[in-house]
Amino acid sequence: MDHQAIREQLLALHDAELPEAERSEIVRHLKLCAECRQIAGRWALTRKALAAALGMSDSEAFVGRVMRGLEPSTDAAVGREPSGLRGLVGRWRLPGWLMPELGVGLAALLFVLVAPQSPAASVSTEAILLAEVPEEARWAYAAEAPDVGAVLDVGWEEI
Amino acid sequence: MSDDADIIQRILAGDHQAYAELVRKYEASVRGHCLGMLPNPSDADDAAQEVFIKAYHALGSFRGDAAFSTWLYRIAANHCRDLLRRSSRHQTESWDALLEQQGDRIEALLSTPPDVEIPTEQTELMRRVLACLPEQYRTILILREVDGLSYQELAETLACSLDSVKGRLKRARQELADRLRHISRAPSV
Repeated sequence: MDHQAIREQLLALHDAELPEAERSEIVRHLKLCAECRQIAGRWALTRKALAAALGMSDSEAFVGRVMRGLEPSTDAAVGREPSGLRGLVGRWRLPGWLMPELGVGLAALLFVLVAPQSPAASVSTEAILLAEVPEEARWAYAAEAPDVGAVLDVGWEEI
Repeated sequence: MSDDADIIQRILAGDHQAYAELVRKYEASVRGHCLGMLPNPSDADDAAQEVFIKAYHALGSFRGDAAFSTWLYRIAANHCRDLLRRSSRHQTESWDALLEQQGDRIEALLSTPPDVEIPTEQTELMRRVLACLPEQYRTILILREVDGLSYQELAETLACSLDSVKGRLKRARQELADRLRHISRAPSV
């Protein structure tokens, strides 16, 4: 096996990506060839230096930061739509500050829809005003004025 | 430690706190990934935090075809690339300046015996050399050397063929080796 072919495979050997047969062959060659051994050793040091440069120690503080960062939106987790008004806001991409305004608007809409159907609203103002008024004088408060002749009980022919 | 798939099932079932187990398991490598990719080391932890938050919100779309770690590193790689492209202040250190100043230290770094711990200032120097590489070489080197992805996982993460992975990895290593060789031969000021 020539050196160039061996060097092509040295890195694959480091990466544990060589089939067993080829791996054994390269290892055998490295035992005999100082030049290839030096190349392999240099890469091993480079790799070690890279790992040392970018190696980070475990940080529980970092874990805490990530988990705190998730807190405002835990129900927006993965594949599950948030429910209620927040879900609506999320789906429509509405800004969060619109939430109170939406709430007030919904309350006003509910009031308009529900208020005319309540028992209290079914008693007309006219009925309340006429409750204490004698029957014969009620025409004065009626929404529509009655026929004048009928009220006065006067026939036109008598005038 | 629970299997990643079990933890993900618990999170999807509503146990949000289970996500801390995944963060704990992968935080060091994701932070290392961001440290290697971003020019400013102080941005690394913020970027890593954003990666984990992105992954959390996308967890419902994780199908389990690949390992969770591969999926997470893909998010990390894409996030760092986006940050680099968005940053108008993205500046890499002058290679020439590094070459002039650090030759001896690089040589010392690459002569460290295998059983000796590499001094902090030399690891910082290595990070600066890495930062001088093109972004795509940095990405594949970090995914392979720091995150430990196999060739197949690299192909999935970078959305390319196995042959492309082998070719790109070879070129990236060659580029790094050339720069290290170059810098170690340069006369220090």
